[in-house]
Amino acid sequence: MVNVEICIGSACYVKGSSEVVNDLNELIKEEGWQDKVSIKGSFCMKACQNKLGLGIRINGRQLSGVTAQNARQILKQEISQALA
Amino acid sequence: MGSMFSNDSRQFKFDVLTELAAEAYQGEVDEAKVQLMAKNMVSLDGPRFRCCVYKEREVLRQRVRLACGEMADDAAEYNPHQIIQVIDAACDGCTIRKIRVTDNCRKCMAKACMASCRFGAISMGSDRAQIDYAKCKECTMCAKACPYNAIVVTERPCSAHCPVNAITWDKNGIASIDEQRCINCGQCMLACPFGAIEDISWVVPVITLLRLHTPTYAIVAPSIQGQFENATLAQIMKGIEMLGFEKCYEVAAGADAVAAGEYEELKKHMAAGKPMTTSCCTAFVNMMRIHYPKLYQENTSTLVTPMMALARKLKQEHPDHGVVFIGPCLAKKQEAMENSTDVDYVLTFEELLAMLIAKKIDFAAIDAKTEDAPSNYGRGFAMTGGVAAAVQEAAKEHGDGPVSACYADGVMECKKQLMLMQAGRFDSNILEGMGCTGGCIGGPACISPIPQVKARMAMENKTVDAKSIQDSLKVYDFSSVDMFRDKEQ
Repeated sequence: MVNVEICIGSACYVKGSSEVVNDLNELIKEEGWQDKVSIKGSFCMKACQNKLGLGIRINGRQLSGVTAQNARQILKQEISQALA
Repeated sequence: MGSMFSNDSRQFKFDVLTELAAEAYQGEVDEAKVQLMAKNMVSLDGPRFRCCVYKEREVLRQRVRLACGEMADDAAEYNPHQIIQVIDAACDGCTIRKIRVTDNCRKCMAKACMASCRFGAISMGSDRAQIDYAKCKECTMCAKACPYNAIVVTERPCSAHCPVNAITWDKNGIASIDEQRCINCGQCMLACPFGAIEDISWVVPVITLLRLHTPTYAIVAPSIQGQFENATLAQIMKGIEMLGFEKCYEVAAGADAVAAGEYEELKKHMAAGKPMTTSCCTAFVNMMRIHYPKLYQENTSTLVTPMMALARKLKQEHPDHGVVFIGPCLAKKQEAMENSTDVDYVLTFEELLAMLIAKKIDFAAIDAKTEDAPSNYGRGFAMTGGVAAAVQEAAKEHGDGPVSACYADGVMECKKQLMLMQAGRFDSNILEGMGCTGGCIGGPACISPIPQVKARMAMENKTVDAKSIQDSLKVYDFSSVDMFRDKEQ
């Protein structure tokens, strides 16, 4: 199981983190990952303060440089790697 | 949908929140959904508060932006510290401060108005007195002089209710808020009859977090008690948990700890021969910080607000949990967005009610009993006089006292008392500052009127065992919580 945590704190939310939840849900459907990937919400993980882009963690490891625009592509790559 | 509020402007704001909450529980609120909402809520058949359906939809679009946690103005930079915002499409640009002659004027013989005007701005017209606005200095002398009350003074409601002169307007009369001066008290929002001033809302991200089963605590302001008809505090708290919160706590517990802490602080102030001002009302503390910096340094209690005290305690015990405060207050929204905060989001009672309707939760049908309660002194923070009474009780419990207190009820009274204090003419030990008239139960996002809330509170708290502040703190232990506003202190 791959756990994806997405920050819905005020700073990430306004940069579109809740759209990422939507994108990820679609991605899971497309890739047939329903039983392999779980999405969780998270409060601030200090991505905003540390200038890491949107706050997203995969199996506890924090990503950096994610934006609402590139999230789908990065998540696809990262989750595929985690599943491999 | 039925009517909850006595005026159309507040009802419409609430309808938007309710629609949005329902959408957010279904899934992500995207631009397409917002467009559809605008079409459904404002159809060609009405409602019609503005000139045309297009203007009305634009107003709605700005309202939705605010309700989604964005700036009302598309072009404005994101600033979560400015809670109160102007919806410029909704602003009527109403008369600024204008002296007007009404048809009460009888063209009398005495013409006291003309005599009273020191600027020669009044002349007698064919059917009534006339004002030359190029000369008028708006001194209001003529209005006072007229024996028929034929001259009226109309001030814009927003600026008339702002205690800190934070409202200005552009050349078209559209209001704008000076963010350097604004204390986020919300009085202008309550005053505007066009619903053109509103608070930014985080109801959508909170629902998103709950939908994703993120562990979150709700903490409720003491003023929530009695807001809902036929609902006890225990039922309200259980109902809030049913929205998806892991557990709901009373901020009154934090208030007990603040009362005890402020008594300790008061002793130091009294020894130094200076009065202490209370710290629980964020709007009042903002007023001191921005507009009376010297008093802020010298006199303000350095304790955190009860909200922050309880949030710090919960975060200390459960760092992986979020904390959402639910209250009647807009200034608290700003406090939660400051640095070193332990409150993740703030919701108002309006937003809570919108969520309850979206989830079809009825408090009255819930079976719930109170388990353990903070003291009635902590709960008393909800109304004017209650905060000082709790600090006085804390003194009494330590065999100390008597301590004298003065209550500043409402922002205008706060300003007056602070001016007296600045002039060295304040002679009580405590100044209790409440930004809203009546205290938090008069807050801008309250649901029920003050007298009803007071009656319901008194009735319910009669059944609770009388508990001292010290006894409450034995149950709710704050001894390891940093209780100071500036953490390093």
